[in-house]
Order: sequence, then C-alpha cells, then structure tokens
Amino acid sequence: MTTASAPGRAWWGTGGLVRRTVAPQVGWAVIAIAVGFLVLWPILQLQSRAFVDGGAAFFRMMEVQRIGATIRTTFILAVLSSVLAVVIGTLLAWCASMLPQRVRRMGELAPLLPLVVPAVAAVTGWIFLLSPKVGYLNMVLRTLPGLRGMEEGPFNIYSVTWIIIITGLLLSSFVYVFVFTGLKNMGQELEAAAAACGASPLMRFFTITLPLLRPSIIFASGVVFLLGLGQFTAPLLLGRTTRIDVLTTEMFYLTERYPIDFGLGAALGFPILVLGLCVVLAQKLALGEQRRFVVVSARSKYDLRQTSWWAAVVIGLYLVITTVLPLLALLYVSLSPFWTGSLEMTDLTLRHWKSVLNNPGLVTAIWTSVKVSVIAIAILIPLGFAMAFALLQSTRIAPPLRMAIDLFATLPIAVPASLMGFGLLFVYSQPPIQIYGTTAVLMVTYVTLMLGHSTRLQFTTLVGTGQEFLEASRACGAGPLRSLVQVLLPMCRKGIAATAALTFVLLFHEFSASLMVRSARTQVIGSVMYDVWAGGIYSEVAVLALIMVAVTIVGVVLAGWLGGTDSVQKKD
Amino acid sequence: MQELKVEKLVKRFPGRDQVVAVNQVDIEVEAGEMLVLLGPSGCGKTTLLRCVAGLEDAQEGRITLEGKPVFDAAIRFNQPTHLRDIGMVFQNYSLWPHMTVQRNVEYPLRARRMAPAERGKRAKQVLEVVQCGHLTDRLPAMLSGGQQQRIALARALAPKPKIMLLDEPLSNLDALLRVELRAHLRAIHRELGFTGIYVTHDQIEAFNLGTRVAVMNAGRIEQLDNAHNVYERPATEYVAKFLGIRNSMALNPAGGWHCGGVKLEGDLSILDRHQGPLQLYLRPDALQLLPQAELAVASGQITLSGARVVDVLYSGGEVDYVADLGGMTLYVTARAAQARLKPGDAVRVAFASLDALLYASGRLVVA
Repeated sequence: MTTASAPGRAWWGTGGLVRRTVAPQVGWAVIAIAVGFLVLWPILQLQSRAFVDGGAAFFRMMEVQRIGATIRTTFILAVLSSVLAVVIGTLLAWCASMLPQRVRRMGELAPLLPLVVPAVAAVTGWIFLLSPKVGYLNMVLRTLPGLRGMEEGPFNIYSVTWIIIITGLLLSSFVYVFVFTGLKNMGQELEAAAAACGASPLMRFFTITLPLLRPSIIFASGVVFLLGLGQFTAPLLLGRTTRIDVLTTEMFYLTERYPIDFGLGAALGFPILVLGLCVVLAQKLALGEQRRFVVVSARSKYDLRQTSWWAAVVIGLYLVITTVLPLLALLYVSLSPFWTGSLEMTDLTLRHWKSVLNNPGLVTAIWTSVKVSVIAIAILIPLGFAMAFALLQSTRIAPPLRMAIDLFATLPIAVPASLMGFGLLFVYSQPPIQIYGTTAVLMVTYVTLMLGHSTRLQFTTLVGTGQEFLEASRACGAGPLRSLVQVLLPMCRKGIAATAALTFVLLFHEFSASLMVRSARTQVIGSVMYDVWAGGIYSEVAVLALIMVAVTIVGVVLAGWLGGTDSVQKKD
Repeated sequence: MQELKVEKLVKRFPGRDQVVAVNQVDIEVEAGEMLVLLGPSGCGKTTLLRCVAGLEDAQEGRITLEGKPVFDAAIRFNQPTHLRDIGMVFQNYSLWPHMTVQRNVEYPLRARRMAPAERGKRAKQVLEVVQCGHLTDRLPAMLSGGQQQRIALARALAPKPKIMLLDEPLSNLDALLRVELRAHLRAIHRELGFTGIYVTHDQIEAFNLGTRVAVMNAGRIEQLDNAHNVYERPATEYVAKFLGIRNSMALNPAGGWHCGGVKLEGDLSILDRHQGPLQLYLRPDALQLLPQAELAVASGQITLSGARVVDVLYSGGEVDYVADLGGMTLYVTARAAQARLKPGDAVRVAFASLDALLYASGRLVVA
C-alpha cells in the first residue's frame, strides 16, 4: 500500500491513473472486439456475397422454383404461429396464476416442461401421432362413428396448417415464461383494487391485467416472431415430402449441393435478417415509454386471486398434448419392431435401442454434443457475465463500448440460428480461418449463437442482485476482484446456474445451425438424427429423440443441484 | 341502523404453522360511523378488513352489509368482492399506472354502468373534494405520494359505496404530510358522513379519526370503545402496553403494598380494595419526580422513595427523565420550564392515585 504514494509508480500502482481508468477500458475493448468479431464477421461476410456483381444473387433468387410461395409461407408461418403462441402462452400464464394452492408449485413449472423435449423430438413424436395413414391418433380417431371407413386422416400433419399449429405450440412455452414473470411482478393488489371498485372478473382481465401485461406480451411476441421467422425444424421435417418450403429450408438445401451457392443463401436470408432487426428495433421503441407500466404498488404479500381447478385442467391438458402424447408415441415406436400404426403390446423389442447404442457413429455424435455444449457453456458463462456487467448502468465503461456490447448481445437473438449457421459455414470453410470439418467450428457456432441469451439472462440476475451489496463490499475496503469473487458471484450463483441450465438445454437441442455446419466427420445428435430420419429408420429416430430428452433432464437436474434447488425456476 | 355487522368471524391461513389471523371477531358499525381497527402488524386488522371486502375467504362466521348477508360460512355463501358495493383505499394506493387520474376515478362508475357524461361529472366532483381537480389528465407515476393517496380516496368515494374500507392509507407518507391528510380526511368524513372502517397501527391516527376504536391482538378484539375511553382506561395490560404506557410496576400486598422492595406511601385507599398482586401502569406525564428532601405531598398522592435520576433528555418544551427505582427504569415527562433535576440526584416518585391504571390478571380493575 505504501508504494502507491511513490511518485515513480503513480501511473500504474494502486490508484494510478492508467491502472484506474485506462486499463479497465482496454479490457472492455478487448471483449467488445472479440465478441464483435464472433458475431459480425459471419453476418457481414455472408451478406456482402449477396451484393457482389450488382446483386446478381437476388436475380438468381428470383429464378428459384416457387420462390413466391416460399416467401409467403415463411411469413404466414411466422405471423400465425406467433399469434397462436402468444394466445396459448398468455392463457397458460393466466391459468397458472389461478392454480389452487395444492398444485401451485408443480403447476407453475408444468408449462416449462415442453422445453425439455427438443423440437426435433417433439415434431417426430407428432409425426407418429398424426401421419395421415399410420399416425396413432388418426387411427384412433378413425374408429369413431362418422369417421369410420376413412382410408386416411382426419388430420394430415404434412400441411401448412399443422406446421403452424406445431410451431405455435413449441413457441408457447417461451411466451409463458415472459408473461408469467410479468404477472408475478405485477402482484395482485391492482386487480383487487378493481374488484373493490365493482369490476367483474372479465372486466378486470381486459381493463387491468391485459393492459398492464402489455410490455411482457410485446416482448414475448417479438421473441416468438423472431423464432417463428427462423423456424426450421417443423418445416424441414413436415414440409419436405409435400414440398412446403420456407426460406431457411431453401438455404439448407443449398448446403446439400456442391459447390454451395453462398451468394444465393445470403440473398434468401436477407429479408429475414432485415425483418429480424426491425423487430428488435420495434421492441425497443414500443417498450420505450415504460412509465405507463411502472407498477406503483409494491408486491402484495396477500395471495388473493380466486383459485380454480379449471386452471389446473387447462395446464394439464397442455402438458398432455405438447409433451406426454409425443413422448409416449416416441417411446412406443422405439420399442416396436416397425412403425405400422397398429398398437400392439406383444412384440415390443429393445432391438432399436441396441442398434443405436452399438452404432459407433451415433454414439460419437451423442458424445460430441455433450462435449461441445459443456465446453461452449464454460466459455459462455464468464463471457456473458462480463458482458452483462458491462451493460449495468453503474459500471464505468466508455459509452461507445457499452453500446457496442449491447449490440453484440442483441444480434445473436435477432438473427435466426439457421441463418447464423449458414453464415458461420461460409466464413469458417475458407481462409483465413478454415476450421470447417473440425469440432472447433461447432464450438464457435454454439458460442456465437448463445452469446445473447447468456448475456441477457445474467444481466437480469445482476440487476436483480442490486448494486448496494457490491458498493457495501467496496466501502468495506475490498478491491474489485475480492468484491466480485466473494460477494457478487455467490449472490448470483442461482442465476448463473439457471443460465447454464437453459443454455445447455438450448445447445443440446440445437438443430438448425448444427445441420448447416456439420460435416461427415463432425456430427452432433441433432444432425445424425436428421440423417437417420432422411434414411427412413423411424424407430431409431425415436430412440435418439428419447436419448436427447434423457440427457437434457440430467443436465437440468445437475445445474439445479449445483445452483440450489429453485435455480431452474428462477429465470426472471 | 347497523351498516355492517360481523359475527363470530374466523379466518385461518393454512400452512405448516397454521395462523388464526381473525379469531371469533364480532363488530358492528353504525351508519356514518368511522370504526378504527388499531393494532401492531400481524394482529389481524388488515385481514379482517379484507374479509369484509371479500378479498379473503373466512372459514367461519357471518358478515352482513346493510342487512343483507355478503358472507355466511354456515350456508357456504360468499358474495364476490365486485358485487358488494364497497369502496376501498389500499396501503399502496393501487392506482392503475396505465390510466389517467380521471380514468382511475371513473373506473368504479364504469363498473356500475353509469352513463359517460354523468360519470365524468361525478369524477370531477369527487376530485374537487380531495383538492385534486387540476390533476385529471396525469398518469399516477407523475403524482407525489400525497396526491396518489388523495386520488385513491376519490376513486373509493366516487360511487358512494355502502361502506368505505381504508387499509393504512397514510402509512406510506412522510410525517408532515400524514398530519395534513389526517385533518383533511377527518373533514371529508364530517362533510360526507360516510360509513367506514379504518385500519392503522398509529394510535394518534386512530384517536383523531375514529368514532370508535377497536384494539386488536392476535386476531381478537381486546377493547372496542370510543377514543376517549380507550385512551384513558385501556381495558387490558396489552392495550396499555400498545398505547405506549411505559411505566409498569408489579405491586405486592403482602406486609403493606410494596414494589420490588420499595414501600408505597400516601393515600393507598384505591389499592386496599384489592387482595391479590396488581400490575400498575402509569403514563410518563402522570409521574412526578420530587427532590428527596421535599416532604410536602399533595393529598390523594402515592409516593415511592429511593429513586435516582439517571438521564435528562430535552425534547422541545418537555423534558424526559429516566430514573432508576430499585433496579426498575421509570420514564417521567415534565415541563421543561420546571425541570431542575440533574443526573445523579436522589428523588422520590409521586403520582395521583386517580391516574393509576391497575390490572389484575391482565384486565383493568375498576378503582
């Protein structure tokens, strides 16, 4: 400490000007540049290809077969599936807030369970249920009077309608997370005040609850619209046979040809990119006037919303439709000799499980998935924490650096994974960084994709922790490092564990970008599953889907155990 | 006529350690009366109010509003809040942040299907009553705490409800504003003559505003009387303690009345009517400290010798002495102009026997 006052050291020692002001900014700049490179490099490089030769790629795009229908389907799917998701998600949140005490804890978590089932697995499960000829649900329905004698149907999952419905159901959990958090934060005192004013439950819902939930609903709508716009899994698996295409599936088909026409891919992705950025911008503007939504009252300690068992019934039904039925279908197909549509319990066999577990290619892919996800999380958590810390108002950071970091944390959320994957494939399959064909490219892909989520989730944790504790620590004489390690990190432990759990789920389920950047030698579980699916071995697809679910559950439980029991719940 | 009648009401909160928040409570509120529920936090006063509002479901008992039952556990009848025709002011005001002041105040009228022109007029009228006529187009977030409180009051008053329920409406305001709004609220109550229940933990608020005051303890009503009687004759030791009567002495009759070894002298006639041990409560301003040498004692006074001044605290026009009497701490308030004692002085403690509040097994005994 005494050396600090020595004049020769004043520029660097404790309290020195350079160390105090310049050094941290250099650190932030290094982070901003590294992250900026990760995120911007693939997007800019790829998009520049769309504009070479006077935008020749856009003319090639006009010549793609049925391009008009493809663009139309993309937007219809995005709009309708997000509307459906918002309605279902909001209804679920409303029901969850009315759950009877006895089932409340379970019931509030139930709408999140579909997140444990990867989209690929859920869609596959639905194919087993609603395939027109041999779907189990269709076969059961055909035994009903009036439908008897039909050769196929009544439902055909290989249609735009069902792609929309299934995408909407897949996205509704995300809406639930945001809206339910909004409802909880709002408290119930404002509704009680309306009741005391003589407002009926319906009037309360439309005049008080819904308007006050506007920020949550707008935010959720934006998020699911972006996800719907980049939706890839359901259109690919359900639309391929009947030639229902969206822009992202067109891009994927390009990667299956050689040489890959990156310019055309960039042109196809351009409208999605622009629209995505517009949505993010619109979200920021719409939520700008927050004052109308600052809920003045503190959270009430009373718990007074009238409870109803119907709420539990709605949530239970949702769980059965989105999770239980598809999982049962997967389980049954994985144990049946063939997928024929008949429900017989006599010939059940473990043949397909053995076949998958004895296939070195498949087992390697599963391990690669786990390995790459875990390594990516090990990079993402500290990186996201640093970025979240930079976004805090109280952090001393040069404003341009803060804005840059904010932008780099937003872009990976705004750009659909399939488009990002296509860009990553482009930049990393050519010099100067030619890592295509190695596991490194998967790792870089995963880190790039999840930077936004990792930062945002940890940011909410940091904001929720409150600055006073950090200030108190500094006031007690602890340096920044000690304050970070002994105060901030332990207090954020649960939030960090929740971030890790959610990131693991999202990465292990990753399908769109993985399918773009995989190569024959580097496969993950999602990409091999697609190959098995394309080869028509549905029973093994079912086995792989169930393995995905099982590993996800293990990951979530592990994260929950590391971060305290309610870490999975504490996403708000 | 009784506006509100609560009979044998019981509200239990379920859980591992079940809490009986309201325990066999009976109250009646007359038309035009303001009944204050007074007690510390957790005594059940807010829960009782919320049961009347229908925001909590009680397990036993009956609630009648203007002769019509709104809750009856025996026949499992429970009228929903919005049909009870009440007006309620919440502790946090609970103004809806997305509506202007005007729309907030009109809301209960909209719920009662009043015509738009008429409800605009009525809203203006009540906003004038609470002196906020100039705030109609503001959003709640643009108002100060005091203004929000007035708007919340206007919103509750607007539909002329059968009963006004006020849940600690002033507790979130700073001290000066609280005094001002208390006076204003009293004036409005006088002017409009509404029937109300007012919940507070602040005794000054209770005595200022209450036609009658009910002091609550652990879900039960300890005393229900007019403000004067509650203040002057706290019915139980609990009420005396809650009202801040800090000096408490255990008196023992064996071998002449004494208190922890110190003998009581003077006019002991009011004590002699009782046999068993008594607990004596005295307000700080009922006690007097006399220099040990001064022998003259006024008639009707009781004295204790051997006390010593420990500390002298000046607060405005008064002075608070802290005295020690045989290991017991006593608090005595005197006029600052007459204060001549200093720490260390030996003194005698004196009080008028009429000021003595005597309790036998927790209950006030009539002197």
